[in-house]
Amino acid sequence: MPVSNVFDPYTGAANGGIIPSGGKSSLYKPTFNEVDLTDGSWTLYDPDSLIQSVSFSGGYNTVTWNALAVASLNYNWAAGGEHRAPRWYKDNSIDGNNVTTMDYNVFTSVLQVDNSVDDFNQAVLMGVCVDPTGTDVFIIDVSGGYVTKQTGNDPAWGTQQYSSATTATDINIDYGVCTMMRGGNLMGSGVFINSDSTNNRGYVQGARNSGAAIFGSAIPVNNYVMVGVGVRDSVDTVGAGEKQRFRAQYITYVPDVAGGVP
Amino acid sequence: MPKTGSFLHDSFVVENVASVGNTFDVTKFHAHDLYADTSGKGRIFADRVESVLVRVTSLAGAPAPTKIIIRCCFDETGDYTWLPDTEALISTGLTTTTSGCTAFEYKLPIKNVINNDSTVYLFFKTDNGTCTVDASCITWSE
Repeated sequence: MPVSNVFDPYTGAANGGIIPSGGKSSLYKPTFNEVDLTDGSWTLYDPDSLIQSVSFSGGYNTVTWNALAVASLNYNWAAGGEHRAPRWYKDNSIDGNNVTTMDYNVFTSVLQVDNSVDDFNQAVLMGVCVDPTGTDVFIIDVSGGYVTKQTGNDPAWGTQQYSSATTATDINIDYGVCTMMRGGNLMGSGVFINSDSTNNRGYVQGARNSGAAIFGSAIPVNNYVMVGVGVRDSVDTVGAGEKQRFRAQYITYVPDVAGGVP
Repeated sequence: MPKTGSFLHDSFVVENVASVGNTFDVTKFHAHDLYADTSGKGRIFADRVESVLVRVTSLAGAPAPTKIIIRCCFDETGDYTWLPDTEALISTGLTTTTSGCTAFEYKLPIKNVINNDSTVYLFFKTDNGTCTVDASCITWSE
């Protein structure tokens, strides 16, 4: 004779005697992970020592750069075959389970930039990768939400996929939401909607397919969450002490796809 | 040395309520005076309800009941609910499939501020078919 709970022991809601939620959080409006690059959970990989400092305040990360005097394709996350731009990373882990390249995982990011900190033509990437300490695109295998900003202009939000990106802008936009699916050792695709923060209305939208495979096998490799910073275009440089300020949030979930296949 | 901890009490009602169907009926309930057998009799109930057990017989119908749904109220018209509608599977007997028991867990303190006494009203219904509720027990602690 099973004992019926009048109230769910995890949520406290009257549950009518049905099976309690089991302590699982709801899929309805789950809380995003806020990126605080100073909280000790992130590791910086900066092959060319371009980061001078980073601080966190009011939900925003402020990154201060050393000089990037010579423009290069290597610091543009949306071009070329080599990425040497700075990036912070940590395990892409859910309840102690590392998300792998074989897991069909859905990743959503929300990116905002502080338009008042407008020192150089900048870019921010909030995504998932395979090897954050790599410099070749086919080693890093990164994709995610992406925002670029040319000084004096509105930011353009969208999605970075492998070594390219699709973005869109509108004067009304305050933040960009990007969702992508990776899994089965493919990098998948990303979609985005850019919205205002007054009533969360979307203004522009888009998508991009990575067209990339991680491995041509079924071998799982752990994923990492990654925050990359860089320049907007391959001709852009950064002066010593110049800053960019942004807010990044993300969430990952892994549906049991194999368990649902008959 | 005074005793410390909590003390369990119960209100056990043995009364046949026949033809309980799949809708609540304001005439089909057990009235439990939770302080009936304590020194608090006549006072306003203000303690922690732990559990409710309901025993059923004469399970009938096609299909017969598999669940009992209960609601417990401060008033006998079923309008002031303190235990919202909750279902539990009937565990039928080992020697018969026409009678069984259900168990519910509540574990919250309540105070009968509606009727200012210690009597509460336990209503029943089934998911299918009909049954007789022949006994129920509300356990509470102080």
